[in-house]
Amino acid sequence: MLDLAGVVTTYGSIEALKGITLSVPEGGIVSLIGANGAGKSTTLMTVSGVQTPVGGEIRFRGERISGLKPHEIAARGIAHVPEGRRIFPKLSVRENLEMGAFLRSASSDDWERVFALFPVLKERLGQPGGTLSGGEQQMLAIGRALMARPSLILLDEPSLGLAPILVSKIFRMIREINREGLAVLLVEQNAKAALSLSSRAYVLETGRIVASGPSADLLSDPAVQEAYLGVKRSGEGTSA
Amino acid sequence: MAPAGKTVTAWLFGGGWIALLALPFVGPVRALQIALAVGIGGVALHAARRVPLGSLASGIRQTAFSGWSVAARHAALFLGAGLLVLLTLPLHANNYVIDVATTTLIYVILALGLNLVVGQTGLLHLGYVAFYGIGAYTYALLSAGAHASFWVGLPAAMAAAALFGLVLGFPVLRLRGDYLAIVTLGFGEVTRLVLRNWDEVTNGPNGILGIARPSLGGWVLDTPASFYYCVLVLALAALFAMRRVFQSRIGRAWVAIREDELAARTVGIDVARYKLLAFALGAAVAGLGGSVFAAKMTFVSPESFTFFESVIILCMVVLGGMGSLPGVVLGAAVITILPELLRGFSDYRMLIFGAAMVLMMVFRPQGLIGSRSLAYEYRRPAGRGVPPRSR
Repeated sequence: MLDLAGVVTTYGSIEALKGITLSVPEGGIVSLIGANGAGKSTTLMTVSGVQTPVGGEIRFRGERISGLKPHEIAARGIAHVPEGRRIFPKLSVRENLEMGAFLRSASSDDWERVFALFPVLKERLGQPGGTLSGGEQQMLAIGRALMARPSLILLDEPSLGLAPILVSKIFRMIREINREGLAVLLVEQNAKAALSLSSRAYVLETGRIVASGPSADLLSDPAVQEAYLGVKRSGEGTSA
Repeated sequence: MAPAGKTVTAWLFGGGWIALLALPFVGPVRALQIALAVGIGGVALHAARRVPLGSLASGIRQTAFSGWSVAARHAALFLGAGLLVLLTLPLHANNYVIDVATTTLIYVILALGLNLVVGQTGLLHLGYVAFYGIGAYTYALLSAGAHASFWVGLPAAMAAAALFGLVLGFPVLRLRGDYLAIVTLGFGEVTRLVLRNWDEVTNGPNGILGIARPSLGGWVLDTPASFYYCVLVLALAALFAMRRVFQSRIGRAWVAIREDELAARTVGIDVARYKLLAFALGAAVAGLGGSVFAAKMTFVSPESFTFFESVIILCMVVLGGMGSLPGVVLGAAVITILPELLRGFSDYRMLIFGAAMVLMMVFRPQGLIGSRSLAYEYRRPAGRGVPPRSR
């Protein structure tokens, strides 16, 4: 469904991605793990068009999307939930969700679907987004992305800064969303949670993919265990 | 809102502070008068806000406005009263008052345009006066040079200003905040200097004389009252158009860009396009204000388009409440009328005016009518499957 081939992205003279090749199958969950600054977020930003790749190619359902503008990519059914949630803090929950459906006109189905997944958003409809708790904001960010009715959702660190109980809740919801047929490309520092959720995973190190395979294999891979699972990582901090 | 005691203290303190500033110029008696006037005025204003205006009009409300929200009813009531005052103004006011009212309306138009860029889209623009000047000179040249009618000059002025809005917009698409402010400031100065030095076209510092007043089918609107009505219609049209645009998808896109540009991109908003649109439309409204200004003065010169004008218009937007249309209208009115009311203090009026602005920003930074959330109000027709607003 989504295929990256040798994608290179630069920030000025710094190469953040040095040739990324990966693919997300229709309806699958793929996770992208790695340390800070490995290029995980940059990969997502490049897919959604916020960053333009200088090399390689990105195809979505066979169509070349690298070089398109973010709104053109969003219109093709890719929704990006950026790192740090980035909800509209002064707009109400309702307005945030409406904004998600900017490119289309939302039907009652769309609203029902989001409320079924995140009932708390229905209770908070009139409240400014900025007054929600961290977990609720993450739900709002995902809900806003779902309002666009995407076929692929890019999730950047959904567990960032959340209490462990909320992390598992958010991950359950991601599985739920995926069951409805949505493909997920998940970036996470919380490697264990990400690997147990996804079917396939890629390990990123300084802009390169250093390991890939079925998530279960990576979970039991000694090298991956040592680098990403052995050390206790709290899943906080940011990555480039 | 702050508790009553705190607000009263704040107003009294504010009165004292203004009096202290004015003391060296006006002497102790006048200073005391100022302190009392500001203090009592503020407290009275505060008390007036407590009066349940709604109950005064409960009869009208229940019959005429059934189904409207409380806020909408109040707004309609104020709007009706305000319109009545504005429409009947020339009947009971002298030419001086009508002239001030006309100037106020021109500033309302300008502030509405700048609010679109700064308040709605969140782009700090310090060179707004450039488009005001371009609009004024476009009509001036068309009228004095080619004897074009105002109704040809007005759209031409708007189009010319919009075009320059795009010319400025393209290079600054990637800039935000301080950087955008500096570039727009520079653009404003460059425009003023071109108007001042391009003698062949703009007649340099001497300006352009002999600009025609608007006319309607042979009736020249050259009395203060008739011109006032003409400007009133244009200002109301600008206000109405603004309201419609803000409630549309375009308005939503602007709010999204203001709130979080990256998030706006990810929900599929073409940020570059909507920013350019904001610049162009904001500039077009300034062009409208400029052509009206040229027609009012029948004379334009570069001196009318200094950086100070940009600052004043920005003050109107900020003082009134960024992003709030009633706020911006009120801000423009207060900032145009207050210095006129303070004429009794001759040279010190700007000092008092400045002090009032400082106090305002300290005690009410969201503006006179700052929208509680800066959110736009989006009312969907019933039965479109959206759950009711939780209130």
